[in-house]
Amino acid sequence: MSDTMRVTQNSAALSMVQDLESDLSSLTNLQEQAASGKSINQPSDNPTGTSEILSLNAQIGRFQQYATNAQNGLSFLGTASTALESVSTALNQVQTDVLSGANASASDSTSDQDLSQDVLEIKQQILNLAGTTYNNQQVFSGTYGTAPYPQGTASAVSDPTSSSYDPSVAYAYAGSSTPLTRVVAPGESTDVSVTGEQVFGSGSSSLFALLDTISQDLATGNTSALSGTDLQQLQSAMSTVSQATGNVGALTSSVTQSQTNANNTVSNLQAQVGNISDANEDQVATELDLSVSAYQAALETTAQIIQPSLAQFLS
Amino acid sequence: MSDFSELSVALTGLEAEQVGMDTVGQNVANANTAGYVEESVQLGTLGPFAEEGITGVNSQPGDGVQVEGISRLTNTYLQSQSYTQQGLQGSLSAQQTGLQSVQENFPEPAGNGISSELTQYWQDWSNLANNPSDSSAQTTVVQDGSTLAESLNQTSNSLTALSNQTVQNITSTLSTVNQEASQIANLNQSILATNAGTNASSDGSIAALEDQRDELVSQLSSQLGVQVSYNQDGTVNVYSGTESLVSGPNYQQLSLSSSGPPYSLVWSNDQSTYQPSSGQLAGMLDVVNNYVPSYQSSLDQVAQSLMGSVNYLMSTGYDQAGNQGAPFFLGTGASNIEVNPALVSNPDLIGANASATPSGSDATNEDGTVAAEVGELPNSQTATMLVPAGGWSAGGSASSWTSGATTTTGTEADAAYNELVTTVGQQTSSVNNQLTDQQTVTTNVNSALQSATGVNTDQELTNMVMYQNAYEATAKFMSTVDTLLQSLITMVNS
Repeated sequence: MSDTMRVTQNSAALSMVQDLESDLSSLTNLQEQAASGKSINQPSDNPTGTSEILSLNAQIGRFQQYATNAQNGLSFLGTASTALESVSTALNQVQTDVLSGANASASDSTSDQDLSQDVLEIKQQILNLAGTTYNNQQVFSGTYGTAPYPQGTASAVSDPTSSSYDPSVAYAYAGSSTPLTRVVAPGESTDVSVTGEQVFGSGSSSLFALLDTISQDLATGNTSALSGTDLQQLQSAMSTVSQATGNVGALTSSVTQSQTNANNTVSNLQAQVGNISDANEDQVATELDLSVSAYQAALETTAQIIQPSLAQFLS
Repeated sequence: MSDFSELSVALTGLEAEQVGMDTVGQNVANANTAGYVEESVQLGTLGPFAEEGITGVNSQPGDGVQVEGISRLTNTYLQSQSYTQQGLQGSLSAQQTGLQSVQENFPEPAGNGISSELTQYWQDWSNLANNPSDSSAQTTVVQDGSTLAESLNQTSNSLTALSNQTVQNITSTLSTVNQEASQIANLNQSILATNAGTNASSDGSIAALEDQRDELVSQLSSQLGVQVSYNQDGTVNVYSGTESLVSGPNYQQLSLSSSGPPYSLVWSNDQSTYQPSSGQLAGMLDVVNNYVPSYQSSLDQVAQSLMGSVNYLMSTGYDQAGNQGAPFFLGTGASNIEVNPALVSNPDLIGANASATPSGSDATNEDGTVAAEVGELPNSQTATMLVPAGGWSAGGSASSWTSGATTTTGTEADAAYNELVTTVGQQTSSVNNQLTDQQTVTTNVNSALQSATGVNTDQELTNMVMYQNAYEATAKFMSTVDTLLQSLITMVNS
């Protein structure tokens, strides 16, 4: 007997089964990757990669939210902008009324009454615009949830012909001086509103009190006041409104920029997740091919090795 | 030597060849029997009896052949190697089973797990910040908070169930181990009895007993790491750690300690406790004593971080009516975290705003700043947290959060969860790799053992042909002697 290692059929079988099992297990793993398109299907496939994906996904969630917040802010600003444009249009009408009242002859009292009434109606219209809401939130009340001029919309204190008329009560600004904000980037809040106080003022110095005065001056034919202080103050109020419109526009473009940034960040982060988690399809396909061939070869060899036995050759 | 002695020589030959053939038959028949060790016939010449005064040269050819014994092709070195490696593999494969089950509770990173629920929850808070008085935004925060809390409850419960299941498996494995120990002791007893009556190695039945015993020890070794020592009388002692499980015909039992974790095994002889380092029992004990408790405590930290950080911000906030925000979560850990029932019935109590409503005004403050801060929590690795008065064990009652609570800084919930998942992944992957390597080692050792002690059918068939030829030759010899005798008798008679 030579001293080569003794091999028995069972020991050969043990090794072959072990080899087949290991081939099959790598085949299964590749098949899972090919089927899911992901190289990490459970944390143990790549613990570090899993950790990175989890924190990237959390960041993606945040930046998607910043985009949502920005969109919400843009809608808010859009609503404010539309309301302010209507206010501007209405004030232009008042200016026309004032000019025609200032140039009218004293005998023209009927038309003065009409103009006076028209200005009161416009005041009411602007009061309503001041109470504009988006999604049930007040647009011009800052952080407060109630209308900015609740007293002015109905009661006698806002009726300049009434004896209980009191503009300091009727047009007292009831909102907050803090504008609404939206978080549009990590740790970064942006204003998405202008307060009613900034646009319309408060109490006896408010736009509404001015309109009441104009309306009274029209009714009484006070042409000197109309062409003097009334017109002056009206034009100053109009410039305040257009300034507010400009502010809203500036905020809108800033929030739009933030939204674009947030969306870009989301795309970048998603690409990073893809790099870590997506299986490289070409590579997987090639490896799968190789793995199948290796498994088949192992099966064939095993079948051929196990077959021959001396028993077949003994008659 | 008599004239007829050739016949008796031939007879011993025929008998010996027959024993050889029987052994081949036995070997081939048991080629696939687990634990069967190949047997071989030891033949020896019979005689001649030395004649006095004559050395070196026998004048007689001898009296034939005798069967000196049937020996087993044992290899105690490889055998004990096999027991050791099977023990290591048993431990790793029990750990792998446990860790795979643990990992199934963390379906990451596909995004079906707690991580995506956390992300959704934080987004809900940001949406609430955008409209703090909106009741649907409030309800969404409460509902998704409940979903998140339930997922934590569920994960914690599954881990507990896994631990309980593993304890059951330990108990049933122990009863198998005890049964095997008693069977090994019984076989030792039978071997002793058989040896007392007959020549040690000539009886095939002892080989069968030894085969059975070795196979039992082999099965035992993957359940509980053992060392084996072989006694002169043919019996074995089986040790695990410092105690002997089987000592000749005697054995003792192992049971599981009544309380835990940590659980340990208890020897029946002296009631001492034992932590095996190898075998499935060691792996399963590792799962219930170390892996699962450490994951449970990490999961508790996730839940506590969530409760602590959200409740802290709530305590700085004001609800829609201008009152201080109520605690959002109640609970002591992952197993019982829940959304404060007061908020479930009235989501308006969420302290979403940084300032209270100004006094003497009809206005309500809706700045949503605190809700926005909650939404921003996942941006940092750490967070300020409230710890309930009286510690976490008191966290189930709302009052422990509102008066006397203290603050601390800890890992933020997403980061804590990420750490937990990564640890589970790393430990599972490490055990997977170790097991793959161990399987190769075990297979190699078992294959070497099989090579040394198993049946090689080609060799057996070769032996068969040898015995067959020898038998034919001996028979031919016998018939030749017969012919010689016939002719002698015929000559005498004529």
